[in-house]
Amino acid sequence: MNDAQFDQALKMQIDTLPKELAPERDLWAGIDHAIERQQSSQRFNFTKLTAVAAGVMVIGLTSWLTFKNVDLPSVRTTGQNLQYVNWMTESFEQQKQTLLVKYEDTPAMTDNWQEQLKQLDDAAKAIKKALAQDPSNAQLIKMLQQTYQQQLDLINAVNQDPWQMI
Amino acid sequence: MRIANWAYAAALMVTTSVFAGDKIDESREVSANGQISIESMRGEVEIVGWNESRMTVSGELDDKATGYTFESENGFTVFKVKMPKNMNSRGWNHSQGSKLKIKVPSGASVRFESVNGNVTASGISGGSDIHTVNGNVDAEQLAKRVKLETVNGNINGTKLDGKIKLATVNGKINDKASKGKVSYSTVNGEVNAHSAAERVYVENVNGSIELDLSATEELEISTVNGDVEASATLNDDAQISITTVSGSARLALAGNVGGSYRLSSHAGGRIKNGLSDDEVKKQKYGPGRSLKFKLSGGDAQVEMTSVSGSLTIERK
Repeated sequence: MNDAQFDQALKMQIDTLPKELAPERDLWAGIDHAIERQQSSQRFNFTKLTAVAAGVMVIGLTSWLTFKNVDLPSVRTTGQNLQYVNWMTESFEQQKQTLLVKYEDTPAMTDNWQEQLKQLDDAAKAIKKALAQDPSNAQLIKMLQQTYQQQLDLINAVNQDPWQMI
Repeated sequence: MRIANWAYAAALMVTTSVFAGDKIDESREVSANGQISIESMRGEVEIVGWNESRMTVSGELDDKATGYTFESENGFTVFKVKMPKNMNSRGWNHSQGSKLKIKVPSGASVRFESVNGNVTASGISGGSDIHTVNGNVDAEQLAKRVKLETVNGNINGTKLDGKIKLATVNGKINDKASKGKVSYSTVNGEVNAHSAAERVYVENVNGSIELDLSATEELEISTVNGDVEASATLNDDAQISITTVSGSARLALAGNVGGSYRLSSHAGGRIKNGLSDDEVKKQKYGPGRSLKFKLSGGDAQVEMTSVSGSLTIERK
């Protein structure tokens, strides 16, 4: 078969196909849902931006921020969840470094706190790995938040000067 | 207001000078339900509640003590063992801390601070806030707001009642027959509790968690590497949340177990269902497993989550 014959055969096959093809299932419900989701996603972006801006202000004002009172935003999409986790991780790292520098010259009250800190850090990595598989899991996000808070609490708890505490 | 009153009381305090290691046997009339602040930086202290409007301090003062203050005014009482300024523990290994027995009105609210030393407290119903750094805390029959904290040491509580917080960094927590609302927090240590508290919160990093709870309305357990063995008799509409990273968790339930159950592990932890015939589902493309089911007859909500630890739910 030469090129001209091939084109002719292809055209004949195409002509036999129906002019319209109905989808196998009703797609309108999905399209409707997608439009609604996009709208709510836009609303979320505004809320999230406000939350992030507020978070940055608090960091600036207080130099360190605990995660205890930070509510999880009403996250809805994978991207937004990951964005939130990244923001939380960055905030935590900043606070952790600030505290470590603050207590640099203070003798610690326990001799194994860095080992415990590493275990918490390893736990955070394991949780983040699980989150990469399931970014929308609120329980995992909460666990990560808790693990970060535990690290900050531990650094604070063991690095005070006990003789100055009372 | 409270701070101002304490400041006023502090201003009226009289310091008594002593020789190192001196005996003390002092007594003051105090309010039956006032506030009492005690500071003893080193040594053993026993605080006992009694049915008299009087506070007594007896025993031996710290070898390094420079004196003490003991004053009571307008319902605020302060006892403090005075120590040299700029102190630290270096070179003090061969000296003795205080050994004191302190009796306080049982209705008083007591605050105690120490750095190196064990403390025992009993029979105080007006609230207790007890803090040491290196030492154990043993407490019995304390009520209202009860806060017991140490950094390196164990906490043992018996018959505590009210809003209870037990916290250590390196050490075990043992709690027997507590009631009310209780939270246990340790970083490196076991938690062992037999409690009738309706609300129980547990947090640790390492060390097993063993709980036997008889009237659970709310239970939250969070651990990193610790294994959890919890049995609970549920009140109606109980809420339970257990999260673990790599430790395993076993939850045995009695009482009204009707409600919804959601168990999930994300990186290979096994799930065992001993409460219903529902099957565990394995993720098609990943190591996760999950189990969801409902039992009729109640509105309990039970959620168990792990990263890699195994999860078991069963009947008590």
